[in-house]
Amino acid sequence: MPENETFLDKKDEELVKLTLRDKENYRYLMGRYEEKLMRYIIRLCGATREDAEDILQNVFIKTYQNLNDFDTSLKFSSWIYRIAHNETISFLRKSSSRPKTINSEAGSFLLNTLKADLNMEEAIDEKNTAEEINKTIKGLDGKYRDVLILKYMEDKDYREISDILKKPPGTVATLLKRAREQLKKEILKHGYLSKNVKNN
Amino acid sequence: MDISQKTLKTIEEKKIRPEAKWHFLLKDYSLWFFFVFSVILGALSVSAILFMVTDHDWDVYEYLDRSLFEHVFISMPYLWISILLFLMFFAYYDFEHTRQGYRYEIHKIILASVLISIIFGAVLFFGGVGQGIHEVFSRQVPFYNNLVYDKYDVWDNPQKGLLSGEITNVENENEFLLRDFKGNFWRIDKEESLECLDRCFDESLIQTGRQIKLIGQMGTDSIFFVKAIRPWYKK
Repeated sequence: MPENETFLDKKDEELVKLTLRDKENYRYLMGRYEEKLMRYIIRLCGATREDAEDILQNVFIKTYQNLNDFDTSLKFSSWIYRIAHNETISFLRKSSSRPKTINSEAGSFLLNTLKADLNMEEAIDEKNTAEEINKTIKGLDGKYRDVLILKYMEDKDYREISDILKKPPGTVATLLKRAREQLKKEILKHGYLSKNVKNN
Repeated sequence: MDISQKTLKTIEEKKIRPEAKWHFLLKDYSLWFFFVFSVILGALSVSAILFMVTDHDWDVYEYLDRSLFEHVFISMPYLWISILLFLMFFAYYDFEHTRQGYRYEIHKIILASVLISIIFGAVLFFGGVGQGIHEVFSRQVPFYNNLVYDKYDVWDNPQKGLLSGEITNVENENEFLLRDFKGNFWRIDKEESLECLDRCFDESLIQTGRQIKLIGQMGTDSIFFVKAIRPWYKK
Protein backbone atom coordinates (compact mmCIF):
# COMPACT_ATOMS: atom_id res chain seq x y z
CA MET A 1 0.00 0.00 0.00
CA PRO A 2 1.49 3.41 -0.90
CA GLU A 3 2.58 5.57 2.04
CA ASN A 4 -0.03 8.22 1.19
CA GLU A 5 -2.92 5.83 1.54
CA THR A 6 -1.79 4.64 4.96
CA PHE A 7 -1.95 8.19 6.18
CA LEU A 8 -5.25 8.90 4.49
CA ASP A 9 -6.88 6.22 6.65
CA LYS A 10 -5.65 7.71 9.87
CA LYS A 11 -7.75 9.83 12.18
CA ASP A 12 -6.86 13.49 12.68
CA GLU A 13 -5.79 12.80 16.25
CA GLU A 14 -3.37 10.10 15.07
CA LEU A 15 -1.95 12.46 12.46
CA VAL A 16 -1.38 15.05 15.20
CA LYS A 17 0.72 12.54 17.11
CA LEU A 18 2.61 11.57 13.96
CA THR A 19 3.22 15.24 13.11
CA LEU A 20 4.70 15.80 16.55
CA ARG A 21 7.15 13.02 15.75
CA ASP A 22 7.93 14.19 12.23
CA LYS A 23 6.81 17.51 10.80
CA GLU A 24 6.68 16.05 7.27
CA ASN A 25 3.50 14.24 8.34
CA TYR A 26 1.83 17.60 8.80
CA ARG A 27 1.21 17.75 5.05
CA TYR A 28 -1.52 15.08 5.42
CA LEU A 29 -3.38 17.08 8.03
CA MET A 30 -3.05 20.26 6.01
CA GLY A 31 -4.16 18.48 2.85
CA ARG A 32 -7.27 17.32 4.65
CA TYR A 33 -8.31 20.83 5.68
CA GLU A 34 -6.86 23.06 2.98
CA GLU A 35 -9.97 23.37 0.81
CA LYS A 36 -12.48 23.34 3.65
CA LEU A 37 -10.71 26.08 5.56
CA MET A 38 -10.09 28.13 2.44
CA ARG A 39 -13.84 28.09 1.74
CA TYR A 40 -14.62 28.92 5.36
CA ILE A 41 -12.22 31.87 5.46
CA ILE A 42 -13.63 33.30 2.23
CA ARG A 43 -17.20 32.82 3.47
CA LEU A 44 -16.38 34.47 6.77
CA CYS A 45 -14.65 37.58 5.48
CA GLY A 46 -15.06 37.61 1.74
CA ALA A 47 -11.32 37.97 1.31
CA THR A 48 -9.65 37.61 -2.07
CA ARG A 49 -8.13 34.20 -2.79
CA GLU A 50 -4.68 35.71 -2.25
CA ASP A 51 -5.57 37.13 1.18
CA ALA A 52 -7.35 33.91 2.12
CA GLU A 53 -4.21 31.94 1.25
CA ASP A 54 -2.13 34.16 3.54
CA ILE A 55 -4.66 33.74 6.34
CA LEU A 56 -4.73 29.98 5.80
CA GLN A 57 -0.96 29.73 5.90
CA ASN A 58 -0.97 31.59 9.22
CA VAL A 59 -3.65 29.19 10.44
CA PHE A 60 -1.52 26.19 9.56
CA ILE A 61 1.58 27.67 11.18
CA LYS A 62 -0.31 28.55 14.38
CA THR A 63 -1.88 25.13 14.45
CA TYR A 64 1.55 23.53 14.11
CA GLN A 65 3.05 25.72 16.85
CA ASN A 66 0.19 24.82 19.19
CA LEU A 67 -0.14 21.13 18.40
CA ASN A 68 0.75 20.23 21.98
CA ASP A 69 -2.17 22.32 23.17
CA PHE A 70 -4.71 20.27 21.19
CA ASP A 71 -7.37 19.12 23.61
CA THR A 72 -8.40 15.59 22.64
CA SER A 73 -11.80 16.06 24.28
CA LEU A 74 -12.83 18.03 21.23
CA LYS A 75 -12.63 17.26 17.53
CA PHE A 76 -9.46 18.31 15.75
CA SER A 77 -11.66 19.89 13.08
CA SER A 78 -13.33 22.11 15.72
CA TRP A 79 -9.94 23.14 17.01
CA ILE A 80 -8.48 24.04 13.62
CA TYR A 81 -11.71 25.84 12.65
CA ARG A 82 -11.37 27.85 15.86
CA ILE A 83 -7.85 28.88 14.90
CA ALA A 84 -9.06 29.73 11.39
CA HIS A 85 -11.94 31.77 12.82
CA ASN A 86 -9.63 33.73 15.14
CA GLU A 87 -7.09 34.35 12.38
CA THR A 88 -9.79 35.58 10.02
CA ILE A 89 -11.25 37.94 12.64
CA SER A 90 -7.74 39.15 13.38
CA PHE A 91 -7.21 39.77 9.64
CA LEU A 92 -10.46 41.76 9.49
CA ARG A 93 -9.38 43.84 12.47
CA LYS A 94 -5.95 44.54 11.03
CA SER A 95 -7.32 45.51 7.66
CA SER A 96 -10.14 47.34 9.53
CA SER A 97 -12.60 46.26 6.87
CA ARG A 98 -16.06 44.88 7.22
CA PRO A 99 -16.62 41.44 5.75
CA LYS A 100 -17.41 41.63 2.08
CA THR A 101 -20.43 39.84 0.74
CA ILE A 102 -20.12 36.11 0.50
CA ASN A 103 -20.13 34.88 -3.08
CA SER A 104 -23.41 34.14 -4.80
CA GLU A 105 -22.81 30.39 -4.91
CA ALA A 106 -22.44 30.42 -1.13
CA GLY A 107 -25.48 32.65 -0.79
CA SER A 108 -27.57 30.27 -2.84
CA PHE A 109 -26.35 27.30 -0.78
CA LEU A 110 -27.15 29.11 2.45
CA LEU A 111 -30.55 30.07 1.15
CA ASN A 112 -31.46 26.49 0.31
CA THR A 113 -30.35 25.09 3.62
CA LEU A 114 -32.01 27.89 5.54
CA LYS A 115 -35.41 27.84 3.88
CA ALA A 116 -36.88 25.05 5.93
CA ASP A 117 -35.59 26.50 9.17
CA LEU A 118 -37.05 29.89 8.33
CA ASN A 119 -40.45 28.31 7.58
CA MET A 120 -40.37 30.03 4.20
CA GLU A 121 -40.10 26.96 2.03
CA GLU A 122 -42.13 28.31 -0.86
CA ALA A 123 -42.02 31.95 -0.12
CA ILE A 124 -38.57 33.10 -1.16
CA ASP A 125 -38.22 34.22 -4.72
CA GLU A 126 -35.10 32.36 -5.75
CA LYS A 127 -34.43 34.13 -9.02
CA ASN A 128 -32.54 37.06 -7.63
CA THR A 129 -32.60 36.34 -3.94
CA ALA A 130 -29.22 34.65 -3.46
CA GLU A 131 -27.44 37.89 -4.26
CA GLU A 132 -29.73 39.84 -1.96
CA ILE A 133 -29.29 37.30 0.83
CA ASN A 134 -25.56 37.90 0.57
CA LYS A 135 -26.09 41.57 1.25
CA THR A 136 -28.46 40.82 4.10
CA ILE A 137 -25.99 38.47 5.77
CA LYS A 138 -23.24 41.03 5.35
CA GLY A 139 -25.42 43.49 7.25
CA LEU A 140 -26.01 41.10 10.16
CA ASP A 141 -24.12 41.42 13.41
CA GLY A 142 -20.84 39.44 13.30
CA LYS A 143 -21.94 37.01 16.00
CA TYR A 144 -25.04 36.09 13.99
CA ARG A 145 -23.09 35.81 10.74
CA ASP A 146 -20.57 33.47 12.40
CA VAL A 147 -23.18 30.98 13.62
CA LEU A 148 -25.16 31.04 10.37
CA ILE A 149 -22.06 30.27 8.32
CA LEU A 150 -20.93 27.48 10.64
CA LYS A 151 -24.37 25.92 10.86
CA TYR A 152 -25.63 26.22 7.30
CA MET A 153 -22.47 26.38 5.22
CA GLU A 154 -19.98 24.35 7.20
CA ASP A 155 -22.64 21.95 8.46
CA LYS A 156 -21.38 22.04 12.05
CA ASP A 157 -23.55 20.91 14.96
CA TYR A 158 -24.15 22.95 18.13
CA ARG A 159 -21.33 21.28 20.05
CA GLU A 160 -18.84 21.92 17.27
CA ILE A 161 -19.96 25.55 16.90
CA SER A 162 -19.61 25.90 20.67
CA ASP A 163 -16.04 24.57 20.49
CA ILE A 164 -15.13 26.71 17.49
CA LEU A 165 -16.50 29.99 18.84
CA LYS A 166 -15.69 29.14 22.49
CA LYS A 167 -19.21 29.89 23.61
CA PRO A 168 -21.51 27.70 25.74
CA PRO A 169 -23.83 25.45 23.66
CA GLY A 170 -26.85 27.25 25.15
CA THR A 171 -25.53 30.57 23.92
CA VAL A 172 -24.91 29.10 20.48
CA ALA A 173 -28.52 27.90 20.33
CA THR A 174 -29.77 31.36 21.34
CA LEU A 175 -27.52 33.10 18.83
CA LEU A 176 -28.66 30.79 16.08
CA LYS A 177 -32.32 31.34 16.90
CA ARG A 178 -31.85 35.12 16.92
CA ALA A 179 -29.78 35.00 13.75
CA ARG A 180 -32.56 33.12 11.94
CA GLU A 181 -35.17 35.53 13.25
CA GLN A 182 -33.15 38.54 12.20
CA LEU A 183 -32.46 37.09 8.78
CA LYS A 184 -36.13 36.29 8.29
CA LYS A 185 -37.05 39.81 9.37
CA GLU A 186 -34.60 41.31 6.91
CA ILE A 187 -35.84 39.07 4.11
CA LEU A 188 -39.42 40.17 4.79
CA LYS A 189 -38.38 43.81 5.18
CA HIS A 190 -36.56 43.92 1.87
CA GLY A 191 -39.32 42.05 0.10
CA TYR A 192 -37.32 39.13 -1.24
CA LEU A 193 -40.55 37.19 -1.56
CA SER A 194 -42.66 35.85 -4.37
CA LYS A 195 -45.41 38.31 -5.24
CA ASN A 196 -48.24 35.88 -4.49
CA VAL A 197 -46.91 35.27 -0.98
CA LYS A 198 -46.40 38.95 -0.30
CA ASN A 199 -50.01 39.59 -1.17
CA ASN A 200 -51.29 36.93 1.24
CA MET B 1 3.41 25.22 -4.91
CA ASP B 2 0.26 24.61 -2.83
CA ILE B 3 -0.38 26.07 0.61
CA SER B 4 0.65 22.90 2.46
CA GLN B 5 4.01 22.87 0.71
CA LYS B 6 4.49 26.60 1.29
CA THR B 7 3.66 26.17 4.95
CA LEU B 8 6.11 23.29 5.40
CA LYS B 9 8.77 25.36 3.63
CA THR B 10 8.12 28.31 5.98
CA ILE B 11 8.23 26.00 9.01
CA GLU B 12 11.54 24.66 7.77
CA GLU B 13 13.06 28.04 6.92
CA LYS B 14 11.96 29.80 10.11
CA LYS B 15 12.77 26.75 12.22
CA ILE B 16 9.31 26.82 13.76
CA ARG B 17 8.73 24.15 16.41
CA PRO B 18 5.60 23.12 18.30
CA GLU B 19 5.61 24.76 21.72
CA ALA B 20 6.44 22.37 24.54
CA LYS B 21 3.48 20.68 26.19
CA TRP B 22 4.51 21.89 29.63
CA HIS B 23 3.98 25.52 28.55
CA PHE B 24 0.32 24.81 27.95
CA LEU B 25 -0.02 22.65 31.04
CA LEU B 26 1.58 25.38 33.14
CA LYS B 27 -0.89 27.92 31.79
CA ASP B 28 -3.86 25.64 32.44
CA TYR B 29 -2.74 24.64 35.93
CA SER B 30 -2.05 28.28 36.77
CA LEU B 31 -5.61 29.18 35.81
CA TRP B 32 -6.97 26.38 38.00
CA PHE B 33 -4.69 27.40 40.84
CA PHE B 34 -5.86 31.02 40.70
CA PHE B 35 -9.47 29.90 40.42
CA VAL B 36 -9.18 27.79 43.59
CA PHE B 37 -7.18 30.56 45.26
CA SER B 38 -9.91 33.12 44.45
CA VAL B 39 -12.62 30.85 45.78
CA ILE B 40 -10.65 30.28 49.03
CA LEU B 41 -10.06 34.02 49.45
CA GLY B 42 -13.74 34.50 48.66
CA ALA B 43 -14.61 32.06 51.45
CA LEU B 44 -12.39 34.04 53.85
CA SER B 45 -14.19 37.24 52.80
CA VAL B 46 -17.56 35.58 53.38
CA SER B 47 -16.45 34.52 56.88
CA ALA B 48 -15.38 38.12 57.62
CA ILE B 49 -18.71 39.44 56.28
CA LEU B 50 -20.66 36.94 58.40
CA PHE B 51 -18.64 37.90 61.46
CA MET B 52 -19.17 41.62 60.94
CA VAL B 53 -22.89 41.20 60.32
CA THR B 54 -23.51 38.90 63.29
CA ASP B 55 -21.24 40.78 65.67
CA HIS B 56 -22.85 44.10 64.83
CA ASP B 57 -25.16 45.84 67.28
CA TRP B 58 -28.03 46.61 64.97
CA ASP B 59 -30.15 47.97 67.83
CA VAL B 60 -28.01 50.90 68.99
CA TYR B 61 -28.99 53.27 66.18
CA GLU B 62 -31.24 55.31 68.52
CA TYR B 63 -28.28 56.21 70.74
CA LEU B 64 -26.40 57.46 67.69
CA ASP B 65 -29.25 59.72 66.51
CA ARG B 66 -29.72 57.65 63.37
CA SER B 67 -32.65 55.92 61.75
CA LEU B 68 -32.46 52.14 61.43
CA PHE B 69 -32.06 52.52 57.65
CA GLU B 70 -29.14 54.95 58.08
CA HIS B 71 -27.56 52.65 60.62
CA VAL B 72 -27.83 49.62 58.34
CA PHE B 73 -26.58 51.63 55.36
CA ILE B 74 -23.55 52.94 57.26
CA SER B 75 -22.73 49.62 58.90
CA MET B 76 -22.64 47.26 55.90
CA PRO B 77 -19.22 45.63 55.38
CA TYR B 78 -18.69 47.24 51.97
CA LEU B 79 -14.97 46.58 51.93
CA TRP B 80 -15.41 42.83 52.27
CA ILE B 81 -18.36 42.78 49.90
CA SER B 82 -16.24 44.61 47.30
CA ILE B 83 -13.35 42.19 47.83
CA LEU B 84 -15.76 39.26 47.45
CA LEU B 85 -17.20 40.66 44.20
CA PHE B 86 -13.70 41.24 42.81
CA LEU B 87 -12.67 37.69 43.72
CA MET B 88 -15.81 36.26 42.14
CA PHE B 89 -15.02 38.10 38.93
CA PHE B 90 -11.42 36.87 39.11
CA ALA B 91 -12.60 33.29 39.72
CA TYR B 92 -14.97 33.55 36.76
CA TYR B 93 -12.19 34.91 34.53
CA ASP B 94 -9.84 32.09 35.51
CA PHE B 95 -12.40 29.35 35.06
CA GLU B 96 -13.65 30.72 31.76
CA HIS B 97 -10.09 30.66 30.41
CA THR B 98 -9.40 27.05 31.34
CA ARG B 99 -9.50 24.61 28.44
CA GLN B 100 -13.19 23.83 28.65
CA GLY B 101 -14.39 26.74 30.77
CA TYR B 102 -16.15 28.33 27.81
CA ARG B 103 -18.65 25.47 27.74
CA TYR B 104 -20.32 26.75 30.90
CA GLU B 105 -22.72 29.70 31.10
CA ILE B 106 -21.40 32.75 32.92
CA HIS B 107 -24.16 32.73 35.56
CA LYS B 108 -23.52 29.05 36.35
CA ILE B 109 -19.80 29.67 36.91
CA ILE B 110 -20.43 32.71 39.11
CA LEU B 111 -23.23 30.99 41.02
CA ALA B 112 -21.06 27.92 41.63
CA SER B 113 -18.09 29.94 42.87
CA VAL B 114 -20.35 32.09 45.10
CA LEU B 115 -22.02 28.99 46.55
CA ILE B 116 -18.67 27.31 47.24
CA SER B 117 -17.39 30.49 48.89
CA ILE B 118 -20.55 30.84 50.99
CA ILE B 119 -20.46 27.22 52.18
CA PHE B 120 -16.75 27.29 53.02
CA GLY B 121 -17.10 30.83 54.35
CA ALA B 122 -19.83 29.71 56.74
CA VAL B 123 -17.69 26.80 57.95
CA LEU B 124 -14.75 29.17 58.52
CA PHE B 125 -17.01 31.67 60.26
CA PHE B 126 -18.23 29.06 62.74
CA GLY B 127 -14.60 28.13 63.31
CA GLY B 128 -13.89 31.74 64.35
CA VAL B 129 -11.82 32.55 61.24
CA GLY B 130 -13.95 35.59 60.33
CA GLN B 131 -13.28 37.19 63.71
CA GLY B 132 -9.59 36.36 63.44
CA ILE B 133 -9.32 37.98 60.02
CA HIS B 134 -11.11 41.09 61.22
CA GLU B 135 -8.89 41.41 64.29
CA VAL B 136 -5.66 40.87 62.37
CA PHE B 137 -6.67 43.39 59.73
CA SER B 138 -7.71 45.87 62.43
CA ARG B 139 -4.28 45.69 64.01
CA GLN B 140 -2.02 45.19 61.00
CA VAL B 141 -3.57 46.79 57.96
CA PRO B 142 -3.28 50.58 57.75
CA PHE B 143 -6.59 52.39 57.11
CA TYR B 144 -8.57 49.16 57.50
CA ASN B 145 -10.50 50.61 60.42
CA ASN B 146 -11.37 53.65 58.32
CA LEU B 147 -12.84 51.44 55.63
CA VAL B 148 -15.08 49.26 57.79
CA TYR B 149 -17.71 50.01 60.36
CA ASP B 150 -15.68 51.25 63.33
CA LYS B 151 -16.98 49.49 66.39
CA TYR B 152 -14.49 51.30 68.64
CA ASP B 153 -15.76 54.64 67.44
CA VAL B 154 -19.43 53.75 67.94
CA TRP B 155 -18.81 52.44 71.47
CA ASP B 156 -16.74 55.44 72.47
CA ASN B 157 -19.75 57.70 72.91
CA PRO B 158 -20.33 58.06 76.67
CA GLN B 159 -22.32 61.27 76.14
CA LYS B 160 -24.76 59.29 74.02
CA GLY B 161 -24.81 56.37 76.45
CA LEU B 162 -22.38 54.00 74.74
CA LEU B 163 -19.11 53.02 76.38
CA SER B 164 -16.66 50.15 76.00
CA GLY B 165 -13.36 48.97 77.42
CA GLU B 166 -11.70 46.46 79.71
CA ILE B 167 -12.67 45.80 83.32
CA THR B 168 -9.70 46.57 85.54
CA ASN B 169 -11.14 46.04 89.00
CA VAL B 170 -14.37 44.56 90.35
CA GLU B 171 -15.54 45.97 93.67
CA ASN B 172 -18.84 44.14 93.80
CA GLU B 173 -21.51 42.97 91.40
CA ASN B 174 -22.88 46.49 91.08
CA GLU B 175 -19.62 48.47 90.90
CA PHE B 176 -16.43 48.05 88.90
CA LEU B 177 -13.67 50.02 87.20
CA LEU B 178 -13.28 50.16 83.45
CA ARG B 179 -10.49 51.43 81.24
CA ASP B 180 -11.91 52.51 77.88
CA PHE B 181 -9.97 51.83 74.67
CA LYS B 182 -8.47 55.33 74.80
CA GLY B 183 -7.04 54.66 78.25
CA ASN B 184 -9.48 56.72 80.36
CA PHE B 185 -10.72 55.18 83.61
CA TRP B 186 -14.42 55.00 84.46
CA ARG B 187 -16.26 54.02 87.59
CA ILE B 188 -19.23 51.91 86.53
CA ASP B 189 -22.32 51.79 88.72
CA LYS B 190 -25.34 49.65 88.11
CA GLU B 191 -28.19 52.11 88.37
CA GLU B 192 -31.30 50.34 89.52
CA SER B 193 -33.53 53.25 88.64
CA LEU B 194 -32.56 53.01 84.98
CA GLU B 195 -34.86 50.92 82.89
CA CYS B 196 -33.28 47.58 82.16
CA LEU B 197 -34.62 45.09 79.66
CA ASP B 198 -34.76 41.39 80.44
CA ARG B 199 -31.38 39.76 80.94
CA CYS B 200 -29.60 42.88 79.72
CA PHE B 201 -27.37 42.90 82.73
CA ASP B 202 -25.39 39.70 82.61
CA GLU B 203 -23.39 39.73 85.87
CA SER B 204 -21.22 36.85 84.72
CA LEU B 205 -19.54 39.29 82.33
CA ILE B 206 -18.19 41.34 85.21
CA GLN B 207 -14.71 39.88 85.52
CA THR B 208 -11.36 41.60 85.66
CA GLY B 209 -9.67 41.67 82.25
CA ARG B 210 -12.89 41.19 80.35
CA GLN B 211 -13.68 43.47 77.38
CA ILE B 212 -17.26 44.71 77.40
CA LYS B 213 -19.72 47.16 75.87
CA LEU B 214 -22.01 49.22 78.07
CA ILE B 215 -25.24 51.05 77.45
CA GLY B 216 -26.22 53.62 80.10
CA GLN B 217 -25.85 57.20 81.08
CA MET B 218 -22.80 59.29 81.75
CA GLY B 219 -22.64 60.92 85.16
CA THR B 220 -20.18 63.44 86.50
CA ASP B 221 -16.56 62.70 87.52
CA SER B 222 -16.05 59.77 85.16
CA ILE B 223 -18.96 57.80 86.50
CA PHE B 224 -21.10 55.80 84.11
CA PHE B 225 -24.47 54.42 85.18
CA VAL B 226 -24.99 51.20 83.32
CA LYS B 227 -28.28 49.63 82.32
CA ALA B 228 -27.04 47.01 79.86
CA ILE B 229 -23.81 45.14 79.59
CA ARG B 230 -22.63 43.11 76.59
CA PRO B 231 -19.45 41.20 75.73
CA TRP B 232 -17.15 43.03 73.29
CA TYR B 233 -17.51 40.14 70.89
CA LYS B 234 -20.88 38.43 70.78
CA LYS B 235 -19.42 34.94 70.27
